[in-house]
Amino acid sequence: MNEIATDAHAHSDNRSFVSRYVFSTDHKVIAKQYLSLSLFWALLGAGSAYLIRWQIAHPDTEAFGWGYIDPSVYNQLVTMHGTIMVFFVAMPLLLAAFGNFLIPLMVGARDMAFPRLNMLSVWIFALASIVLFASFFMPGGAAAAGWTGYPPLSAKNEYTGGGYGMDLWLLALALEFASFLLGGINFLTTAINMRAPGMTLMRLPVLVWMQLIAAVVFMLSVGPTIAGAILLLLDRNLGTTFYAPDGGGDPLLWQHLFWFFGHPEVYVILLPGLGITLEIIAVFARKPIFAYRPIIYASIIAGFLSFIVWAHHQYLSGMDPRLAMPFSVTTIIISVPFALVIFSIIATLWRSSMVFTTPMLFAVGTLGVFIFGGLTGIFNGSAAVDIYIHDTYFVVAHFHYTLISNVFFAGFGAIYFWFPKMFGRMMNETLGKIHFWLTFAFFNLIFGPMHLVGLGGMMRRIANPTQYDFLKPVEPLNIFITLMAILLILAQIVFVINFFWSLFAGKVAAANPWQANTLEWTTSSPPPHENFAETPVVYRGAYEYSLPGQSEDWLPQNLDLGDNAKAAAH
Amino acid sequence: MALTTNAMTMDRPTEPYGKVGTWWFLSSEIPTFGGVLVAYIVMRLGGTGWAEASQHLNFQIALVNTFILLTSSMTIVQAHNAAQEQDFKRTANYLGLTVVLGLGFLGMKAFEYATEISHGFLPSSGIFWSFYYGMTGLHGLHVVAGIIINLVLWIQAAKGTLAQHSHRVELAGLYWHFVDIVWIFLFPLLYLA
Amino acid sequence: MSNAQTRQTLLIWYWLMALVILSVAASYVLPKAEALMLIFAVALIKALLVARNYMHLKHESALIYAIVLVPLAFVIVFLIGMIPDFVYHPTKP
Repeated sequence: MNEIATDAHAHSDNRSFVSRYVFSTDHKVIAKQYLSLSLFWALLGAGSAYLIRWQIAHPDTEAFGWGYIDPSVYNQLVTMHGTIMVFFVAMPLLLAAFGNFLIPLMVGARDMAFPRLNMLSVWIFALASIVLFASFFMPGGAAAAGWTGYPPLSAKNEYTGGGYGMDLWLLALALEFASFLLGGINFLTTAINMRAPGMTLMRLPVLVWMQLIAAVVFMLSVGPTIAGAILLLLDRNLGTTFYAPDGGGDPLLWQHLFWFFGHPEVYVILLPGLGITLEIIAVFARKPIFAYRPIIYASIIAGFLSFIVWAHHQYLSGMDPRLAMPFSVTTIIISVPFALVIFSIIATLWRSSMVFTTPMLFAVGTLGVFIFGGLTGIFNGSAAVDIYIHDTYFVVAHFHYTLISNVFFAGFGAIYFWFPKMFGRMMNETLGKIHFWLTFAFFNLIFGPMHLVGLGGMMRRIANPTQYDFLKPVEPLNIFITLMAILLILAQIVFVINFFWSLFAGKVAAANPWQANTLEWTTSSPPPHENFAETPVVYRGAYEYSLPGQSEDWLPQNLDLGDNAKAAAH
Repeated sequence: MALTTNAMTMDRPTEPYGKVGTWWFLSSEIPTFGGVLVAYIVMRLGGTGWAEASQHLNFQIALVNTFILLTSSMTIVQAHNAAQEQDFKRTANYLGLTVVLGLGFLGMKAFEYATEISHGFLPSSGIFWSFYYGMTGLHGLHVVAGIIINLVLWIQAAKGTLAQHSHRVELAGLYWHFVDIVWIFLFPLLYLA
Repeated sequence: MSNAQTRQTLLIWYWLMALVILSVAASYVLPKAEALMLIFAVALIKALLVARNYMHLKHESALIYAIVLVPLAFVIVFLIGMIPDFVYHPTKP
């Protein structure tokens, strides 16, 4: 192993822009590349949401700023909205951007274990982005078989009117999976091997644990879907019959292969979001995280359980009905460890000295919104209830409550919280608060009523609900929801203005503007190339806030009090 | 640029980075191949006509390929042993042997495919053939990747530049053995069952 | 080259070769069901030989064992989940 360098690595930084920012192996630069890509895709995801909502509310009219939406184009929009948001916004934002930026800093390392592999990962992700973007321009358009890509709809072009768009979709996903597999290897090796002296596993910030569990769950679950995608590519291009019943195949095979990964995937997205929420809440409640170890154990258990719930997406698929009960049971059970985490977050807030900065608002908002989404998950998870609500907008409302809370609320919270560290400037608090309240209000006004739309029987993915008489009652709701959606998207302009303005003209940030304990706040904002001037030494856990007998209400992990008996050694 | 950590204050002694990373990679490959193999097993157990279709496979070629791949696992271990003793000439020889054996496997496979295709057994010929070409094709792509890795290391060993990262022979070996183990299961599943 | 290491490596190789021959022989000599059981048991043994000896799993830490065993466990879970749908309700071509 190499020795610790006591003086900063002398880097004559007269490299060109290209070699410094395009070919960088620095995890902080790579994190920002992921962040930029995810925000770009968020724009496209929001755009597709707008068009979908327009079509639902005012079918077969010209969408403002776009034009007439053909039903086959509508299918592409629905497909790409899901694909983009899950794989090209949620994953790069929560896992890649914040995982890459924070893990080495939080464990006290100079960089990731495999910096060049890290660069390769973001390059592969960029390639996946290009491939997916290109799929829009293929003859026949982009993939149009839903983000879940069920055959035979996805296997035969004549059903969707598509062509190469579907194959490129599969290729883009395969590349994205490869990128995150490599990233996961980096995260795990770095956190296992490169922790600073004194940084035991149980002193790690919760966010690092969550990223690790997410990385493991991702790596162990994505295999069958990669296999399934390859089989689908073969069915489409070589005439194999994996999913074709008249060749001896079975469309259910795809469903099992897909959902075996698809379900753990949502927890891969969820766990870092919960971790971010916990980090922010600990700092702004000025209180240690309640039940730190149980939270970690519960998250690990939830990670395991996530592998045995997958068929709850398939209750109505025609699968063997005997599978319904076991999967209902496991699905209900998985709510228990998550409930533990949620109660612990609430307990952390209880009787704390909350400071409602913008990140804190988003963190508490995440909590509230997620609880609601988790509750409707129980309805969906019971096979008997799911018979009525499967494939309706009730499900859509459910997963938007759970996903948006994690991806957007926690994601925004993370951006507001770590923006000073990443870019050396503070974001504007007033604009941030306006952004939060508008987003929170419009979000709930969209997806709250959407539960009623679903219970009223509106099916997913249909282009024109007004053609059904039984859906007439929900028409006004749909129009209302669309209006709220447009307002929600417009409200994000506040964020965009704040983000870019602060990048260039925000107040210069101190090293530790939030007075937080974790290691990333002990170095400058932004950190130097090698993160720390010298290796930090860790003496305590990450959540020593409001410790009795201390003069400050915070106590950094690396502060040597000189008296080990006094420092709470966790 | 790696920081050493004080073993006394860590929960456990650290593993060599590359080895842990390689095992994590293999852990993701297990469910990938596992997914396809499980699909094959369950569909075959429930389906009809699979055994008849598999009669048309060339068992002898596959048997030779099994011997080839097992032997190549042995040779790459020998390469690793030699590398550990800093004997890079021997390392190069054994790596070269491994590459040649790998190419031999691919050659036999290509011949096998050509024969089957000329007899009209295409990937579109039914579910058994879909799985046959799909599984051996996926495996074959992994063999190609392994050959490339071993080739690069062979060249480095021959040129004398392997010394500073001789641990990579072990890592390449881990991947190669994994590919071999997949074949150990593919062979009976496709050809003997 | 250390003789002990070479001997060990070659010994495993002889066993692997022998086991292949045993499998093939079984497929000719034994009735179908017994042959299959033996063949897959042998495959498992060969895999274990390669994993424990050639991949040095014998000497590796608990972490690396876990990295291998946990995905295998999930593959078994997947197999169990797939059996009802495909073994008992197969599609007829």
